[in-house]
Amino acid sequence: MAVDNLFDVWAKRNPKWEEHFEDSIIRVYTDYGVGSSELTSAKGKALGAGYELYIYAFFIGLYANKRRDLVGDTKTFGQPIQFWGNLDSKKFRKAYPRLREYIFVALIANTDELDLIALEKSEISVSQAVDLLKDTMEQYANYGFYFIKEKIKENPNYFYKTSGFLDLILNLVVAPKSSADEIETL
Amino acid sequence: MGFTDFAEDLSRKAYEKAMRSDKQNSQQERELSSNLETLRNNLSSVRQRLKTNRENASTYSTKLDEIESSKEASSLLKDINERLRSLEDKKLKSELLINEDYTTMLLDEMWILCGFSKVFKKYQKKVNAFSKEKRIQENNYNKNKGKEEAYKEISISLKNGIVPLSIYIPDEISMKEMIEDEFCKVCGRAAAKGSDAYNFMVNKLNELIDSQLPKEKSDEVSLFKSNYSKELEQKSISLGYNQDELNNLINTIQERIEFNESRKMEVKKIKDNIDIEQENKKKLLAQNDTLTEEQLQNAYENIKNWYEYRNQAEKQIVVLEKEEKSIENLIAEEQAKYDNLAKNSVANTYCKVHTVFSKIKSAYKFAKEKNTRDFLTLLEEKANHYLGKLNLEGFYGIIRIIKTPDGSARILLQDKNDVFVASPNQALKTTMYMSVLFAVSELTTIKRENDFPLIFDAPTSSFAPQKESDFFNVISDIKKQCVIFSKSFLTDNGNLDSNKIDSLHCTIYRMKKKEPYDKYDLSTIQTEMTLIK
Repeated sequence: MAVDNLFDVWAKRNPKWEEHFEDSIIRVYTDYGVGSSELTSAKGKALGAGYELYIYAFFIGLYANKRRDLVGDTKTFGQPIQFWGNLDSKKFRKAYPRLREYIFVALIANTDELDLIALEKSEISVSQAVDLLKDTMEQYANYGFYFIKEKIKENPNYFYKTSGFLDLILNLVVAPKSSADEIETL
Repeated sequence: MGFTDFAEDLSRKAYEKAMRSDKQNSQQERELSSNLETLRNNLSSVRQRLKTNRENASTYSTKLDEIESSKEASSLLKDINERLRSLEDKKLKSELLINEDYTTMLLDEMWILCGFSKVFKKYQKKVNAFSKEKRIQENNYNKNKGKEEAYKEISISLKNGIVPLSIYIPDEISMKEMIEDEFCKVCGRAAAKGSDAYNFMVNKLNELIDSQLPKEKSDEVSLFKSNYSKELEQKSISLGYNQDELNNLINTIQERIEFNESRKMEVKKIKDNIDIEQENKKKLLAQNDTLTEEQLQNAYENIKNWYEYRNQAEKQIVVLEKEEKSIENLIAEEQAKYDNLAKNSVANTYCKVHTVFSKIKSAYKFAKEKNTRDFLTLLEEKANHYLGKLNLEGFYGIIRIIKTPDGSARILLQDKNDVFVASPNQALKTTMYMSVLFAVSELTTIKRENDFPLIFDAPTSSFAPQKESDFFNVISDIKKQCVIFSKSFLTDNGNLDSNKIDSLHCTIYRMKKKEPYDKYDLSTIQTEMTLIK
């Protein structure tokens, strides 16, 4: 019997998010719950499917290197991760399926709770391993959502600026140079 | 139809009837009257065409006169419009190059990975450590289980405390390439065929190939039941290929932003140029307010066509005039034959009556035309007299009153070389029409022997102060009752300008709203007239 890849098992999952973000953020900037994203620009929405904002929130948490546990009621998107970024049929948009691999790689890199040796020895199941990866993903995204919410509180128009979303990422990424950025000495 | 036309027509019909009733000449009469009928129809047709061509010639001449002075403006407008079109095109092209969908580019172009290098390094480090740990444990396990054969393979490395790389690293393709080139591209040293280094590489490749072969079922218990390290290592290799792109993303983003900003600057500059051109266009159109933009625009293309149409019409006029003359002669000949036929018949009397009415009609027609010509000449003369009086200084030209083929008359301003003054200034234009008005008024006084007043509403609004004072002086000397409404005798603060009033020797009234009045009730507005002098 063919053994599933860790990536494939993970991609079949549907990560959770705190339900209150639906009205306060997700529906504001995406077509979540509305349908086709072809009309995104006509509706003045910056993003298409709801998971696009989730990816964005995830990267905020990742680059800020901060996580936040989910509390209260949660929800998931209609599509599991394996379909995220398959936008070929959408007008004026490009598919980005490879981004899923990068998210996976980031989760492997940052899920310290996952003991890969134990997984290799089958001391923990793939499902348990993927649960841990999903937890990391949800916590990063959750931090990102709270960060976005805070930004909107400071300036309700922040994300309506053409470069609003980009600026936020650049601010997190282009940090003052630290010694960690230097090439490691052998 | 006037009486002379009516009488001529009726007498001709009576004459023709009498001729037809004369049995003696009926054959010849039919022939001649048929010829005459045909000729008259031809003449009528020629005259109709002549009229049309004269109207065309006149129309196109007028259009060309009007356009003559606008020729330069028209050419300038053409240039401006061409520049505007090209600027609009450029603007559109630059605008199309601007793509500021930065939010979707974060995903579609994977810009969001601009900070991913550190994360990826962490991943590589973790996967390497995991793989290494796995291999150490695997070796220890195998060693412990006494698998000497397996142990031997790695014993040399282990002697030096070195854990060999995973069998997947370097990958199969890279290994084959290095063996073929007899060069280790990992350490950068030659590995000639037969050397230890070469054999090491060959063994490593065989090990990799063996690992890919289907495994025979074995009862052996292995330490690691899964092989996720392979998947993770492969991801590390495949995504590692794109590291340079990830590292370059910040530059890509920066370049895109700079590109958009410079296009926006470009668009702004073009927009400024468009504004300048549009301002020039407005000025040009304001200076040529007799023609609309469309007319001015068409003028350039029209000039050529209009010259052609006018020339065609003028050539046709010459041809048709000849034809008219020739048909008139033929009619006269046929008519003479017809009249001759009547001489010895009962129709002779009718013939004479008709001849008399026909001559009277011609005389009236000629007289009418002459009178019109004389009247227009006189009107022109009088109008020019007033024009001179109303314009004491500066250029004012000569008024021409031209009869058009459709029977109306047109007032033109020319210089002494017959050059048409297409756009006289407003004051000159006003005095031109005023002069004709005075002339008409004077001539009607002569003919009718009773006068009527001329009423002007703010006639001097376009006049300069000097011209205004000349105007009032001329008016006060004209032996004619003129009623002029003007604000010229009020100072800026609404009081009477006594200096101006004193210089005039005519009756002046002040007309104003009677106070008090309700600003919101029209019925309270009344006019109050006060005699000033």
